[in-house]
Amino acid sequence: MSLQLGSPQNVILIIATVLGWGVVFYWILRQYRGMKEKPVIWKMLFATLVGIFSASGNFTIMSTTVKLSILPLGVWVLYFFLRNGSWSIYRKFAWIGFFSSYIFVATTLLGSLLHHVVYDKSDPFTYVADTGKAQLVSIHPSASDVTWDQHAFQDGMRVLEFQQSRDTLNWYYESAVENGVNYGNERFPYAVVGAKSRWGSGYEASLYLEYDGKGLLIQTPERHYYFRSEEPLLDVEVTIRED
Amino acid sequence: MKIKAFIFIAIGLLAAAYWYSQWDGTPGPLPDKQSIIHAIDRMSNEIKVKQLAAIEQLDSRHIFVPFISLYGEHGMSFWKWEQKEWKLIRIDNNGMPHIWKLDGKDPAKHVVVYHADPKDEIEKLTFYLLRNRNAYFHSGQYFYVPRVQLELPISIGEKNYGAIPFPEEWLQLMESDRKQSQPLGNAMHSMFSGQQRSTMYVGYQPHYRGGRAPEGRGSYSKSGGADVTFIPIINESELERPRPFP
Repeated sequence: MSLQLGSPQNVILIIATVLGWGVVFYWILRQYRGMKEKPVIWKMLFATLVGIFSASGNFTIMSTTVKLSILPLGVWVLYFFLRNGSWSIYRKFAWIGFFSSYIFVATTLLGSLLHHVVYDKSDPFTYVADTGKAQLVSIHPSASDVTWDQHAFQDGMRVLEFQQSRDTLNWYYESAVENGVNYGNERFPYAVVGAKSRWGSGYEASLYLEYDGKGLLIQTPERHYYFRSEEPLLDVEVTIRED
Repeated sequence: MKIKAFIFIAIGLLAAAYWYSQWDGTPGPLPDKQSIIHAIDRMSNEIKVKQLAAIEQLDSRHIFVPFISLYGEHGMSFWKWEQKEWKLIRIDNNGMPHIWKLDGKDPAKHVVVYHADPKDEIEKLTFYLLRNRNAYFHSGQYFYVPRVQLELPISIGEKNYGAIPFPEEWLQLMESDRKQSQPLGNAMHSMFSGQQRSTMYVGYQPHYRGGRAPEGRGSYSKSGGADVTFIPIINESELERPRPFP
C-alpha cells in the first residue's frame, strides 16, 4: 500500500492495517519478555517474517474478501533449517508470523464493518462528494450536444433515488441487438470525470449519465449503483425515440 | 588494513563506473540528418534511405523520424536518448499507424505515429478509442459497462506523417476505466475485490480518396523492439452508428 497525498485513501483500511501490525508487535513483545533464554532481536523479527510466508486462499466473508493462510510453509522452512539448533527459541515467532494473517483478517473485517457504518453505500454523495473539478465527456456518437452545469448536477443529485439495477442485461440487448429499441445508441453516453468521493472512503467511482439526463450509473470495482431522478442532472434536449 | 581500504575504494570506484555507464545523461542536441540516415542504413539490410520527411521531437528523450527509402517506401524510425547518446531503437519499412509508448505505464505518454504513402491515396485516418458494452451478474450484483466510442479524425494532406498524443478526454476515460479494472489495494489484505470485465483499446479506419482501398501492400518488416504496438483496423461492422432521428 502506498500513501500518496491527494489521492483517495481508504482511511479505515489504513487504520485497520496499522492496528493489525500493532497487535502483532505487541504479541511478539509479550513473547519476548516471557522468555528466559532471550533470542537475538533481528533473528526473532526475521523468523516472524518467514513465518508469514504461507499457502493461502481467498475467502469472502460479509462481502469482504480476505486472504486466509492455510499451509504454514514459512514455519516448515524455518524448522528445516533450525531443527538441530535454536528451533525451540524461534519456533514461537514463526507461528506468530503465520497467525498474524488471522489477526489481519480480524482487523480487516472489523474495518470493513466500520466502513459500512461510516460511509452509506446507497447514498450517491458518498461517491460524488466534490464536483468542483468535474467535467463532462461524451463517450458515444449517440450523445447530444450538452453543456455541463455543476449546479444543475448537484441539485439533481439531491433528489436521486436508488434503483435496484436489475435491468442491466436488458440495457445491453436494447443497444446491442439489431432490433433492440436503442440499437446503435448508448444508454449512458456521458461520463463525469474528475469528481471526488467522500474523504477517507477510498472510493474511486466512475460516473455515467443516462441519455435523458435523469439517470446516474455509479461504478465501483465491487458494485455498480443506479439512481434515477425526477429532475434532470444535465440539460439534455430529449428527443422522442421510437419505441 | 591497507588491503581492506584498497578493496573498499576499488568497489566504490566500480560502483561509480557502473552507475555512470547506466546513467542516461542529459539529452544532447538532436542528431543531424546524415547521421540519422547512416544509422538507419546500418541497422537494416533492406532499407536505404533517400530522404527524411521530418525530425519530430516528442519529448526531451524521444524523437520520431519518418523517412522515404530509395524504393519509395514510407517508413518510420524511432529514436531514444539512452546512455548518453541518441539511439535508433526501431525502424518500420512502412508507416502504418502504431502507438509508441514513451512511458509504458502512463497513457499521457502514449503517442500515435503514422507515415502515409501518397500512393495509397489516404484522405483521412480516423482513430477510435473503444470499449465494448458489457452487462453481467457477479456475486449477487448486476453490472453494466457503457460502450465507449470516441473518434479522432486526422486528415492526411500535405503533411502525411504525424505523432499525436492521446486527447485529454481519452486520458480521462482511460484513467477512469483503469480504476474499475484494478481491485483496490493490492496489499496483503485486500478489502475489496472484483473487476470490470471490459477494457479500452484503440483502433483506426483509413479513408481512401475515391473510396477504394489500393492493392495489397508488399511485405512489412520492422527491426528493433521498443514499446511500439500495432493499431488494428476496425471494420465498419464493429462500430456503432446511431440512427438519425427523423
